[in-house]
Amino acid sequence: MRLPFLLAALLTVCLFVYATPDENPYLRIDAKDVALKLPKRFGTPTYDLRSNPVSINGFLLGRALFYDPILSQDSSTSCASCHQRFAAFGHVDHTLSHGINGRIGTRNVPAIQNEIWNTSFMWDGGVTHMDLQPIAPITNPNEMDETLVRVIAKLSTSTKYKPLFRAAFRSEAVTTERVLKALSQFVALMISSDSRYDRMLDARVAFTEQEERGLVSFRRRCVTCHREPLFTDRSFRNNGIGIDTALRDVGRYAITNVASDSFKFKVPSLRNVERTYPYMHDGRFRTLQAVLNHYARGAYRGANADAALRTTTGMSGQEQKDIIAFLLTLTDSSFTYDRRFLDPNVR
Amino acid sequence: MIIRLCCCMILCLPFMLRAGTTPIPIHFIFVVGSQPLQFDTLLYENERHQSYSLSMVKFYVSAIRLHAEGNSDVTSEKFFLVDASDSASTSITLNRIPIGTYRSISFTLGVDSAHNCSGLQEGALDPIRGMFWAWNTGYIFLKIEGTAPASPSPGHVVELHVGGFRQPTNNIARIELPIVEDPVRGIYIQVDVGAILGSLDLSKQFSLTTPATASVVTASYPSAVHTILGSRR
Repeated sequence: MRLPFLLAALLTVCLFVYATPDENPYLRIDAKDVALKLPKRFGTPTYDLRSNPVSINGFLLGRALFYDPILSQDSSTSCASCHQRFAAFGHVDHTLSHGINGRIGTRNVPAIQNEIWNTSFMWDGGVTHMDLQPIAPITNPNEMDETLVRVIAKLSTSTKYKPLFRAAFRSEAVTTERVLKALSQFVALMISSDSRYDRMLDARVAFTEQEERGLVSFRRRCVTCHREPLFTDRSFRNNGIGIDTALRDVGRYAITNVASDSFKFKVPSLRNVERTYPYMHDGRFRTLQAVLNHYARGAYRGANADAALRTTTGMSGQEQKDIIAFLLTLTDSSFTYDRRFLDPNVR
Repeated sequence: MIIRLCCCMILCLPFMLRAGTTPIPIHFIFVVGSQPLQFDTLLYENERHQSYSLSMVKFYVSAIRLHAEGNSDVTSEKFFLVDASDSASTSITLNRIPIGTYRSISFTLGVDSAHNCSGLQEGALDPIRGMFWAWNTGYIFLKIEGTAPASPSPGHVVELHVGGFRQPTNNIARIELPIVEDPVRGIYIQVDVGAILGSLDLSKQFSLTTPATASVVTASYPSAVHTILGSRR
């Protein structure tokens, strides 16, 4: 009589434990998951990881914050609203950034990947440190339109966050530094280095003939600005697309006030470019073919259009197709489907 | 005044000669021309006869240095956010200052470029204090806000946000002022907000919130910031 009862109780406990989300082995985050695997070919990260080492609980707190609309003024919009995992944390099919109350910003949402190697943030490089980056979208009136004071107040009174902060930082105190460092720990792990291109470099796969031709053309035509292996030289350039007359975005000039920086924008990485459409700082091109058309045409607008544009002028139709075939090898599904970055609220 | 200063020096001489340290208080006194600064209630007038009221005056003070006569200068590496509406912040005390004769005080009105560039900062420099530009990462060195009927903005708002540490618009200001009485009794620094808004045309210069547009504000500091005798407050 007693034995079956005990067994039933044990089974119930087992079932309960199994049903607890964190015990689902697919979703569980352990020490192996937060160990940074830095690809040798990317070099030394710019971000000082010693100042903010990634821990399991720091990562979990950062992930909770990234996916939580509590960071926006009306609790409607989270970081993940615009930074989608399956789009390499860009905003697929959205020309310009979106915010609370249907507000629309002035620039296309950039992807978030390999940021610990980045030297400045945003299209105009106005943000100089990864830890400070989240303040911009949180406080921008067209995005989350919230103040840091209110973010800290809301998190301090949240029963959900008390244990998360205690686990990550040994006390429940919510400070700007802790919020931003937790977000940085989450973002630090967003490393895309397992694309077909990377596997080809490691001689694990072979390119097709067309991909191979595309790589050769890419290295002749595009690599000055989109430098391998991160596919950006992190510089600011005017790529000759001309000003959008509605947005009148002067780009880097707004930051430096130097005339020669007018209409210059940061060279974006091309990793996962297949998934980050539409393209350019204002999202004006919907397809990679439209981008290639622009670069091949050679009719560049603006007095300070970049000299490197000469190398892209006059690409044949076949060459453009080959380059696109190569660009598709930069898609990294290990990254875009990485279970660690799943929304923790959807289980 | 000179006689008073000499008397003061002579009286203090025995203390100064004695080896040891002393705290030195620094007090910021806010005025608008000849009137005391009062938020929201008083209407002031600038040189263009444009009236205005004030609701906020805040700035960063850092790298305070006391220039000594004879021995070496004393420097404080701390950052202070001076907020005219918060009396706890308008008095700064430098502790353990070697007793000596100090002829002048200098400080940075702003935040040096190293602290603008090196990521997250705590304490007075915590971005939560609102003295931070998120879109163009860096500190707002000085914020003056108020209203003026001449301002065409919604609510007739006037906003002066001074920041910017990169060339060509570096608004980090170094200010050196003579010490006019024994510093142990306190260094009184008068900030005349009227001199900052004095020559602005508030119908056009009502929102100076970028490094380039705000440099006109930095240029007015020499006429706005002075040391005064404590008894003259």
